Amino acid sequence: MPILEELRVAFRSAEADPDFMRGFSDVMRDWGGRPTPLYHAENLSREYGASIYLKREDLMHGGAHKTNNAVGQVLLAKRMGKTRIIAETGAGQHGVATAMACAKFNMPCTVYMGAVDVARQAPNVERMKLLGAEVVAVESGGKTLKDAINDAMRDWIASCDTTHYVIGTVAGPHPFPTMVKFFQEIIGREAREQCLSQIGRLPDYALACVGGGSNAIGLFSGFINDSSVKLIGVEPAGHGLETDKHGAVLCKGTVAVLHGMKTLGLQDEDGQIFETHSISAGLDYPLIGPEHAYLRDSGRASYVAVTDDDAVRAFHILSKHEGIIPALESSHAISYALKLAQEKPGSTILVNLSGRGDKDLAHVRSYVEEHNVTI
Amino acid sequence: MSRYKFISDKIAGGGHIYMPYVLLGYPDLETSFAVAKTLIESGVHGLEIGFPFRDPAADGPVIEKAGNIAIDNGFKVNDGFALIKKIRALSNDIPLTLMLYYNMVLARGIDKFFADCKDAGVDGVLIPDMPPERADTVLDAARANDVDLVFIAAPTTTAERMDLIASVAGGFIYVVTRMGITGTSEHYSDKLAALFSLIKSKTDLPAIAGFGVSTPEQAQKMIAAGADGVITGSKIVEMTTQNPDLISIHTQDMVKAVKG
Repeated sequence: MPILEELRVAFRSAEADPDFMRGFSDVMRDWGGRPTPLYHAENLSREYGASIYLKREDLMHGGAHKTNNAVGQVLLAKRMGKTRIIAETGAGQHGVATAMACAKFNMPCTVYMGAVDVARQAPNVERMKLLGAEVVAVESGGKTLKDAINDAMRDWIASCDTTHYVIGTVAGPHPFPTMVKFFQEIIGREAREQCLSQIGRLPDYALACVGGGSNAIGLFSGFINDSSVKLIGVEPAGHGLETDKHGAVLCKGTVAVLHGMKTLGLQDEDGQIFETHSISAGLDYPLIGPEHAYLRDSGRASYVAVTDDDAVRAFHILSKHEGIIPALESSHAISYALKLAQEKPGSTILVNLSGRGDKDLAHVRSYVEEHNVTI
Repeated sequence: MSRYKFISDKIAGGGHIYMPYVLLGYPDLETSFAVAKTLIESGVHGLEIGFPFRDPAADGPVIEKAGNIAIDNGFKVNDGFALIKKIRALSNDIPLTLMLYYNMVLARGIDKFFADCKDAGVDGVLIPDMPPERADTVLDAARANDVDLVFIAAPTTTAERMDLIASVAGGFIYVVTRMGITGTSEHYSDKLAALFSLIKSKTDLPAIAGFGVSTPEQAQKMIAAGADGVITGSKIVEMTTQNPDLISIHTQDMVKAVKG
């Protein structure tokens, strides 16, 4: 596939070019708001019995870690001479990040988004439109992230001469997983330095939520060689792993090939990929970035799952205890951190707070009412 | 002897090929069998047979929607192979090419899948999301069962890549007429004539054109550009739930058009 080879060569040349990397870092600092802080969640730590630290990607421009990758890829597209950007989005955070980058770098932008997600993430749809992007509601399949990726890929097959496809996670054909990881490694690099300078030690655990896996890969990369740091990815258990309404690919999936990668997927015996379920649009994906499958199989990282109800509880707990409203995606990681704190009192737990939760307010309110969740 | 000889003999004799597509299980198993029967009785020179898939990344909205209906109505891969056996019983001459996505091959087990193909009477398999670079993952199993691997050439295919395709391809070369996905829209690439001559410089396999070829005029246009034959897909799927005679009339027109 000539376009993937063109992209691979362009990416390798860009990452080795100090001018390109300096430009990227400057934009990240002055426009993106990096470095993001490491925050000691003292109230939670006191109440749950472990030292809990949050890497504040929610404070990044756009409200999530997605901006790191979107800016990197849009800059790369410019360098390649592309004149149009397309992207897929689940929760809308990657769509917003790409739309912001396209506004700044003056590129037309089309974002594919499942029709179900358009409905449950309305504020982000408004933001994308305000930023000048065209939002295409995808009506096929389960009308969520997987279907948005299918349609973005179809667009790209026909338009790759002029168009770059900014994939939002560490998935898809090579070089996408490598490239997205490269732009997200800044999370782990900063977090490790901050742990050493602020806490004086590395954490015992590093936690991140996992949908496609980009924020988790970004965080994990900083600690991959520190064998004392246990890496834990938190998947969406939806209604529960014993039901068919979840998105826990690393906990329950089998080997699959789709979207240009060999990885794990949730599927039936014929290889038909399931529609997943999660309250969180950003985790609602039946495949996983292939490096996570590798980390699982090699034993370097472990993967657990948190239900919709528990994520919603964590959403409220972090809001009330620390004055921070987390994204529903990140709430999965927060929930597991609270459980872990009680199991391992005195330990140091680092959680990647991958995004902020303003986008989720209406969705959480109606969920709590409908499901009688006790907070 | 490969049944693809049936089409290469026709081409060697100055003729051209019409090889339409039938999506098994759409809208149900019986109807799709009836469509295949109608196509064969109307004189087609080969059939492309699709297994429905939830995520058909190379297909347009018509085939995607139809595939979802087929799966919702209970289509399973076991049904698909049973149906191919019935189709094979209608003609032992024409080549049957099974088109499906890689994950379905993987899920069945690569060796079992190709053994099932042989058992059902499949002559070739087209896996549109398997690039020739990864043909190594299935080549041994395919060869062990005398099943050819069919590959796609596109207007962007370079001479180097065509060499690679030629080294692993069998049956015929599926030539896509434009970049993008299946469907009836006609936006042919202006590089088509060059593509056909590139293919012919690299392989003796027939070059059969698909994607947006659904009328006799379009078929003749492709043949004039250098195609050895044409494939119609989405149009057949569209006609499946309409008047049953439509497919028969359309197919006879197409067969006539390619004979020119």
